[in-house]
Amino acid sequence: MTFADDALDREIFALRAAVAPRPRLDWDDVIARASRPRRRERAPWVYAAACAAASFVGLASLHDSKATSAAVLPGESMSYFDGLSCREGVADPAVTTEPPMCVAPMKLVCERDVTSDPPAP
Amino acid sequence: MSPQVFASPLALAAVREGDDEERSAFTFLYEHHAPRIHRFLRDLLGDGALAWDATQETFARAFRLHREILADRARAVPWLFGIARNVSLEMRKARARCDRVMTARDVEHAVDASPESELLGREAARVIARALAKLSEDRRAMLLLRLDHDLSYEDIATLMGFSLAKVKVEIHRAREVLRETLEEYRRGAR
Repeated sequence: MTFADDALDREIFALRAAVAPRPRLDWDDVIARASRPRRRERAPWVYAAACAAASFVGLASLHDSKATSAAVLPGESMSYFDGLSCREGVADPAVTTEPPMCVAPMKLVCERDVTSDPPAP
Repeated sequence: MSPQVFASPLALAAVREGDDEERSAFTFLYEHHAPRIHRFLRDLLGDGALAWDATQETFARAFRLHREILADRARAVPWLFGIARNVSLEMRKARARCDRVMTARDVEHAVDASPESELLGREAARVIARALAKLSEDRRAMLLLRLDHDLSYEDIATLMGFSLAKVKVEIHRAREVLRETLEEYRRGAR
């Protein structure tokens, strides 16, 4: 079978097309849709900023409610306590070795492992 | 004239000369090609009402660009199918997200056909539906564009954003599925 040998296939589609239901044409609806103002495309940074603002507002309100309410919601502590206090995107500290060796750059700088702290009284 | 008036592409188009001629040319394009676009979208979306909505949306988007489309009329049909495919992808996404249920509306009408061609057409539709159900969305679209709507491999490659070689291979595989389905149907009919 070659790519051009499609007479039989086309015939099946032609048989179907002859009895396929036709749409009710509504030109006025097309014009009405076309004249509707289009939704503006927003730049990705708008979504990022909105997300950051929402996170900030959400955290701030959670923080307020934590301060005023004695009740702790299940899973709430997860937002505040993850065991490690880490920072991303921090420049690697200068490492010198004797003799000079190649040191792999670090992705995360973990300042302190708070899980090893003694429990509060 | 206020900027608000110019904000509408239709109003902007209306103040230009020669608009009536272009509009009637586009109306002709709509009347002539809407049934094909609707059939294509019906096959992709599997729903008559949704396909009608998508057809209207396709032509509304095309109307915003009608000057470019009419400037190169030889490319108008592949262009329309390209817009239709994008609309169908958006609608599929929206349907998956919102689980939208379309209510049956009076958006289609049956074609007057002889009982014989009606019977043959129904049988053909059954085979095609079975074959299309076995194909991925991309392969289905390519098969329909080639066999049902007679677009060239080059036009299909352009509107799908694939290489010509990929389009040829995909359509060849889709046709194998169609033929297998037809063979199954023949064996079942005996």
